[in-house]
Amino acid sequence: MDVLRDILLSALTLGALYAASSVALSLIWGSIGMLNLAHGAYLAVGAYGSLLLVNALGFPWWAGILGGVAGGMLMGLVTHLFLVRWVFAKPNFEINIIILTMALSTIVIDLINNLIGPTSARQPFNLDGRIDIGGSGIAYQTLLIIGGCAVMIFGLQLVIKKTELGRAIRAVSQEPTAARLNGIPLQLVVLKVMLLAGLVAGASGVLLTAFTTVYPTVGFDPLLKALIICVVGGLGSIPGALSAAFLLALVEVVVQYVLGTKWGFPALLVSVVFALIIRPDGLFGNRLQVRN
Amino acid sequence: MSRDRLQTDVLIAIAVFAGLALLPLVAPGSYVLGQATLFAIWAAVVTQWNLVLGVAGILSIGQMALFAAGGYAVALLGLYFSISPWWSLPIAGLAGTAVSLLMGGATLRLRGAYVVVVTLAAAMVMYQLIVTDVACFRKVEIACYSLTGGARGLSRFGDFGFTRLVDYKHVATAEYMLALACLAVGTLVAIVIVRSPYGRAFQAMRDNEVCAAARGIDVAKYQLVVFAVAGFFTGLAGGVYAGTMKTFGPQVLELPTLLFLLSMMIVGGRGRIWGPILGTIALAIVDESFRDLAQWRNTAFAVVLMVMLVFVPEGLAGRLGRFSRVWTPLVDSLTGMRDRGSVRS
Repeated sequence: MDVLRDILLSALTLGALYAASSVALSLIWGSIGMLNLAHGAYLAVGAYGSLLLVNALGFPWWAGILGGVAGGMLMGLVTHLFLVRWVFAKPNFEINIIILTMALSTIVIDLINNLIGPTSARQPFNLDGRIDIGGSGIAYQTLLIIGGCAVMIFGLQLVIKKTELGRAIRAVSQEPTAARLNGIPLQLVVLKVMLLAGLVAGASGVLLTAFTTVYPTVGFDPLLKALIICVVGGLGSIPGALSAAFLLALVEVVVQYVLGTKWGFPALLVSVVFALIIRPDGLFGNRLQVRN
Repeated sequence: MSRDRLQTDVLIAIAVFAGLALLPLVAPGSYVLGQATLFAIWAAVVTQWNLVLGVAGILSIGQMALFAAGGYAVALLGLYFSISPWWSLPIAGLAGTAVSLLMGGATLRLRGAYVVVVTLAAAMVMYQLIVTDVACFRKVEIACYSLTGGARGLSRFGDFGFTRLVDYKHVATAEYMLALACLAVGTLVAIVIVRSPYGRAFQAMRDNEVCAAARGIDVAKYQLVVFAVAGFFTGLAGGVYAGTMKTFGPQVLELPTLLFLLSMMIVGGRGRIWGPILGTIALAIVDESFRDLAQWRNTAFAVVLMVMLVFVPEGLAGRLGRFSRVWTPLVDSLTGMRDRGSVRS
């Protein structure tokens, strides 16, 4: 019984982390069909933004999240100005943007390494302590992450479903050419999506790094997990990503308990491959209609 | 028509590789030859990757896992069974094929970005399994070594034994020749495939998979064939790397290596026969000019990659092809296929 409770609590914590990692990635894919391999760099820059604001400029600890948001949005702006606007809605966009964002992430990691240094630092934005549940417990930080995720996802759904911008985003995601013919400023909408995703990713970066420390490649592991989660959930489906995050976290924790820590990730991959063999477009994804 | 182009391509390939084989006469220094050996191996890897990504349009980016499979096959067989790399090279190729077929099979029903994620994750799983491998497998005096060498990698597993076969002064030359031979065989196979009916099928799959299937092309079969071929020669390149560098570690599976090879392919030109070699030469030049600024090396590769992809998406080979159309059809065939289409999405 104790084992079961521990497993469920660990899965809840891990699932919250995974959900936080994957929201921004899912948003960008769902709205402009771009797989953002610089997502890890977004998370890292967000985490460093918080460090800068709190540790270097002396703001109170809770201001860290603002630093994260600013850092993430800066990344969104840079990605749009230097990469996305040049290749969006052109042939081979899907693969080209994957390659370009991979290159961007290398540059960001190099910049952090060479300008700030490869040392790791503690994330100032975190809550100590936990709720005790008979021996094991839930850290306050986990609750903070779950709360933060809920706010981000609720906010995003509101923006996408209810606002003018959301309507434009949905139009662009369905058919860029038709959207432009109907007077939607394509590049402006794409820029706004990138800023929105940057905001979410930067905040996630701050939330996530409270459990680890902040170092240049801190975003890589969440990126890899987020990729897998979004693929299983169906690329672009935020509810899909959420369910996949908690489902895969449970699988990983159970496998780690039964076989040992190192088999967690391989087991995750195997389950993903099987999930995709049965449903090639993810659990919640729809078969993309491609015109020939 | 196709036969003519095949013959022209093969003749050009023979001329190019004969020219490259003369390098030791021009620049006999061991540093230059060492670098040239390394870059010949990278070019061999990129040539096979180009076959998968550029010609067949399958967005696999886990290619380094095949390379690692080959390299570890040679290293492990040498270490535990004292098998010379000469004998384990074919096994390295088979190891590459095995991993490649697993990857190709797993991604058979997937498309586009889904393939990217699964292949990348597969390579990363391999990386993490090797790096976290710390269990004691053999003891040398008091030091303890794991089966795969863990993050440190493997060394002292024997080499091609050129010190015994040739004069020690010519070891660097011999190693360069071996790497060049590996590249030449891989390139010739790639040329033959691209010019054969198989190549047509790959391009048809890339340009429009639904139409290709409607014309009776068995997409699954061809995908497995291209993965098997690429896997064999990538594994072979991994084996040659292990035998000539005399060390092999999980670093080849890290992202900087992936980005470096990707830059070679994009700069040279995706889907072009001569793209990988032109790209390798270009990247070798970039690499040399950043020798004193090693900490910015990866940034340099990334910037070159971005600029080329945005402004010259057809790569150096494609650019050359555009010039050549004006003055001679001979160079035109040198740059590979003209009828490029969009990558399958």
